[in-house]
Amino acid sequence: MNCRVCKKRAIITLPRHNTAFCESCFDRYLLDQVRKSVKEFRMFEPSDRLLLAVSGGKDSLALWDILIRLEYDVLGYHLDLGIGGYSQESTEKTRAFSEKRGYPLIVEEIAAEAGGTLPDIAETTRRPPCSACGVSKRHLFNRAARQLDRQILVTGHNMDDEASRLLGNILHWQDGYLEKQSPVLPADGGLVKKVKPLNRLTEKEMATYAYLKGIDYVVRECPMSADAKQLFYKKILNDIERESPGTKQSFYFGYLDRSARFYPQKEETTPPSEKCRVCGEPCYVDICGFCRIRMKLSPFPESIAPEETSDLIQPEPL
Amino acid sequence: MTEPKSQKETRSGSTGEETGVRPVTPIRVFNAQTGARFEVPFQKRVSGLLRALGIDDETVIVIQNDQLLLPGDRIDPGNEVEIRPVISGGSGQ
Repeated sequence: MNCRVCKKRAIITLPRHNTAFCESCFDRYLLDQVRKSVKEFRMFEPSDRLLLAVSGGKDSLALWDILIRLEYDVLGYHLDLGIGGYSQESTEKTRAFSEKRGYPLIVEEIAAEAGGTLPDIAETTRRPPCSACGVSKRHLFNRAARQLDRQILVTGHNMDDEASRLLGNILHWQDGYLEKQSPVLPADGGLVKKVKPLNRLTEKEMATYAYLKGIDYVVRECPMSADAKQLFYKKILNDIERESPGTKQSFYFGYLDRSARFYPQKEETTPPSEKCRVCGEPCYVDICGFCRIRMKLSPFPESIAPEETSDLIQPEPL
Repeated sequence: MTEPKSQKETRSGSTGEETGVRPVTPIRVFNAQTGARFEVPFQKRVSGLLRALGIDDETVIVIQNDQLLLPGDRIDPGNEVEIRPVISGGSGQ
């Protein structure tokens, strides 16, 4: 098969666009898709300072490469989750990518922040691993962005991630999450702005880009996500997509087009009204989810008598 | 992805030595996600290989001789084919 643009040998087909591209035309297409999302959703400007959450997987490493090519100011942030050899490989590949290309990177370990690795957290709190991981990442990413004076937190979620999340949220009518399905969440009460510039691109497109650019990423799946519901929803969407190309994209973007109707923007936003009494980070309740995890893992003075000690506790330095 | 055991049968199902028919070369496959290496009965094209393994083309990239292959591309039976799953799950980062 040949490229629909220049007639050279094609290296990828895009059934939802009824097209195929050679290496150079695919590169141009992919950068255009990222530019389009950044502009359409007003994600960031060239003067903004970005913090990119980097896992060591194809999406985040490829996005790092793309943002640098588009000449944005990007700082990488990697959280070592402590999942045995998997996290070791993830951290090594992230460091190697950063060093080889000279991109700045900050690495933190969840064990140092939470008092235990992700498997420890999941076991102690009896939370599903992906849930414990999500709570920890949301907290530590936001804190890192504020500490490092980065206005915008960027993640490598792609269209498959977003469409499968949308499907799961609709199936369970998760209004709170559906309201926040947008690829841009504005800064709000101590929470930094969050953006997802890969939301127009599929996993296959990102893996293809990573391969073509010689990016050495972690190919194996997180051992703790083997039973993740998201994988099941992705399979369902891919089955539909195979029969009817373009359905996934129209499902996701159709929702984004209509979401304002379902969830009208409130005149007054509802930012987190509280600061966590333990760490001082923004939260909606008395003690944030991450500190509750920390308390279960390694009780510290605050957890013994939070009422009595609350005045003595200082927020973590920003 | 099903990973069939090594087979060295001809298309008719018998071995070459018994019938004098030249054995059809199996395709050597490497799954980059699991690290597994295995053989699949000869397939002329990538689409046939993926069908034999029960894999949806949109969930993997296929690499041989440092080149990305499309479903309609021919497979070089002399070299290993890498199948690299692209689907990831969990909360993401």
